[in-house]
Amino acid sequence: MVASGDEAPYYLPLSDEVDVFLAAFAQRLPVLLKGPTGCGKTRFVEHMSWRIYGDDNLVQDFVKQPLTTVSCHEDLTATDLLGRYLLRDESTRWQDGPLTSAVRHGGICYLDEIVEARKDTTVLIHSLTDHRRILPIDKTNELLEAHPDFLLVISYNPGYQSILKDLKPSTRQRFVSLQFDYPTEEREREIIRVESGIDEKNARTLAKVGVHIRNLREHGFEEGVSTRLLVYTGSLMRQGIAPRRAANAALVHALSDDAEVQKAISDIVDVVWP
Amino acid sequence: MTLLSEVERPLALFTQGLSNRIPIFHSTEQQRSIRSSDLCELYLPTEFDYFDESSSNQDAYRWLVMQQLGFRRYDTLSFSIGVARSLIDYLALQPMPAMHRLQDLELFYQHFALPELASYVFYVLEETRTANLIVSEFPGASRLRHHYRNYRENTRTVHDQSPLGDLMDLEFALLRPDQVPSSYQDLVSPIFEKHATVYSSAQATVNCYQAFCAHLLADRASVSGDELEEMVELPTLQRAARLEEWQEELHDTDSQLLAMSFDEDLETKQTTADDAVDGSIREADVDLKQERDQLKRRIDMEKSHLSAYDRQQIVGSPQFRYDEWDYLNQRWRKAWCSVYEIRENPVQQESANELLGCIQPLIPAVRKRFEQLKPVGMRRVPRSLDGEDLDINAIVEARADRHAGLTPTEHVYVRVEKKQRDVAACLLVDLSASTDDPIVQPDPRRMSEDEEDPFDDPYLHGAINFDPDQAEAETPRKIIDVQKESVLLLATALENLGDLYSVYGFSGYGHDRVEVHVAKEFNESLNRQAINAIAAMKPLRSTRMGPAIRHATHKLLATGSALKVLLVISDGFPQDSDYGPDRSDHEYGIQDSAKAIQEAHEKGIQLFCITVDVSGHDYLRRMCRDEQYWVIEDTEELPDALQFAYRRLTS
Repeated sequence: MVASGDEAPYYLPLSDEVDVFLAAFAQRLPVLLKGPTGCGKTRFVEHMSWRIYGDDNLVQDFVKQPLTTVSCHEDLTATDLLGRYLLRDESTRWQDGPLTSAVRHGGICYLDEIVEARKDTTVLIHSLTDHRRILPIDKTNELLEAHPDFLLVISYNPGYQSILKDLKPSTRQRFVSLQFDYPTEEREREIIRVESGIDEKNARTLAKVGVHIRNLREHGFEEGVSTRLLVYTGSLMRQGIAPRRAANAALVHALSDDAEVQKAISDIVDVVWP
Repeated sequence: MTLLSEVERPLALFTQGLSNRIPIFHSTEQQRSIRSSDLCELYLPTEFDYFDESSSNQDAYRWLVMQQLGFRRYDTLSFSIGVARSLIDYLALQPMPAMHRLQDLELFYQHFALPELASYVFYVLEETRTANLIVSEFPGASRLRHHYRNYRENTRTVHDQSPLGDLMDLEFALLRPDQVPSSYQDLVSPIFEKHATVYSSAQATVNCYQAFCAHLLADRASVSGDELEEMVELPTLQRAARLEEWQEELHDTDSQLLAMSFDEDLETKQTTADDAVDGSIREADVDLKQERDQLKRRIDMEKSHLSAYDRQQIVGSPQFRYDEWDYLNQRWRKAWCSVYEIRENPVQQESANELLGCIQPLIPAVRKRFEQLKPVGMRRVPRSLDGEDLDINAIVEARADRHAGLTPTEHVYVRVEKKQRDVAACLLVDLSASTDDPIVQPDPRRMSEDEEDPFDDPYLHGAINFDPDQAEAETPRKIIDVQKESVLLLATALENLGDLYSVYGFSGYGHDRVEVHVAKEFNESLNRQAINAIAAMKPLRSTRMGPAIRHATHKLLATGSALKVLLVISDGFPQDSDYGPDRSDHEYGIQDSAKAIQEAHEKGIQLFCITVDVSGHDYLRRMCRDEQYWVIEDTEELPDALQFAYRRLTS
């Protein structure tokens, strides 16, 4: 996925994460983003890539593709990141994978939910995360030195989905780590208002709904409701859908398939909404 | 009719959502007093059948929940008697009640001649104050309040014609604040102020109490004490505090008895018996002893009762709710069982070292036995859609197909995968009190009749040559000891094998408190902490097996492993308080456990029960299939049996 456009992707800083990220980029230190689903990690990376690669003072060269996002999954292998030989006509041709491409041409390579990928991928990135900044590619017999404007950013979600998936300390300790969490009620209200375009009062109520639903973690949705879903609810309301119906569609049924959990969420929405 | 048991889970989730606390529901009839507890304990009627529509009954339940949460949220429970006395003149003029261990609210009620009346009035006023705040913060709750108000108003049947009707009038007037009669308006006005606090309710309580007492005195003859008691629930003296007082009293009585016994001895030695004096001392002695015995019995009963409330250990522990199969009514009791996951974090290492010492000599043999299960190396998966290398054979075929005008396959890669076992196992250990029993040793060699020595009968001669030190040194091994050794031994083998495994102990304290003690989780290694935790496992209470199996199943499913194994190690049939019509009825527990086993099987769990109870065949064959259980006659065989079962299930 490529981030582009004239307008900066909206991002409301929660703390000093923007400054820390800029400092890390200045030193080309890899960054690890930790936090629950839908709390704004991807949006933050989009925002930062727009900000960094749009500023000639921060980068050395023009980078055609400032952000490459890879959504990791359990079948993602090192080959998928590095590249592979493809068959073309009667011959084979090497095709760079997303990581190789970013290392070669510069830009942020954002490996989202890295712990989902197979273990060999985490070993692959080790040499890119220390002073060497190199990527060995056995298949092409290359030792690729990272572009000066390359930055590796990974994200993961401690405790997400399976208790067995975790980032090894040997990998974790190679990154500058930024901890994300859901915004405070006040900030979330502002995010919902700006992103969905609903009025202040409704945004406040939605933020309050979010706070109460998050108290229900560990009931089929380990992390509570994401800001993203609250924005979706607001967006439906903006389109004229009644608040309870919008919440039903974007929150209640999106969060759980368990009828009793759905009922509880629905009841919470019911008492919070006027 | 809407039963609490039917709506308990969504209601619990609703409560948790609003308060961020896991509730403990208690079935009760009308609750008209404020109870304070560190836990989120809520008191709800067992059933609600006022409305035809179930949804309206559920609304009433939700309102009751919100009301009780409101007492915590809006600072009722933070009431300080010191602050109240500094704010309210009436209280400041009263002497501070000299009663220890009472909570501040109880002390507040004790400022009045009729504490029960004060408690009731305060409850009614505080209920109104907090209800207004609830509706202000949660506007949607006004509908719930409306339903509840209708119910209250339409079920008002008592005291209308009595002088106490005035008090009831106040309560019902407060249900519709805009209709509060003018005679009450000034009295209750503090609770309707913009920034009303719990002390506003306290002030209004003083106002109403004084007005009501004036009225009561005027017409005292017509009010019976019973009537008052019937109407207002006696404030609950903290039973734990009362128990402490009784225990102190018992201690004093014991001291007195000891002193009397000493005096008696002294007197016997120094003087000849004076019948009258001696007789009176003995009589007093007997009375005191009887009193002491009665007190002791009362303490035991109270302890037993309070044990259900002894929940300090589970405060903050993750709580899970599971259904239970009620075979008597052939229905599920929804969300009936509360399982608390308690993390064992013992620091004492002595018992762990002792346990390790026991199993150390056996480890090499066990590891070797499991070694053959361990896969080695990598495997190449040809004809993959994706992979590290091109598959030449597949490419040749693809090209040939293409030349032949056929659609070539896209599976032209070789994928390299590490060979590994994808196994998750849960070792679920019964920690019922009976595991404290010593292991029954095999029958000693029977002596021939010639060898029998009738004079060497300890029952005849007492403990001849009895050496207490020796007896202590030969403390018999207990079932729990062998369970721990077996589990740790298997754990060392699994650690080497690389399988994921967890170790849990379980014990029941009734349906609302089933404890699962976590010694080791799937994602942890067998480190010192885990070994300490296994060593610290100890006999607890009962065997509520169904919810424990359901919880283990839940945990196993979360691992996502291809092969999921549950090994249940027990020493007797499922049994717990309220696990059936009475404790001696085992059928309920057996049926529920059988259901839990069946559920686990349907979810793809390989389950195996091992019991050291020789009568295990009787009930296990009704709980699971023949190949799913094993009865060990000699407890010492448990380690081997456990290993054998594991290998059979996973190889």
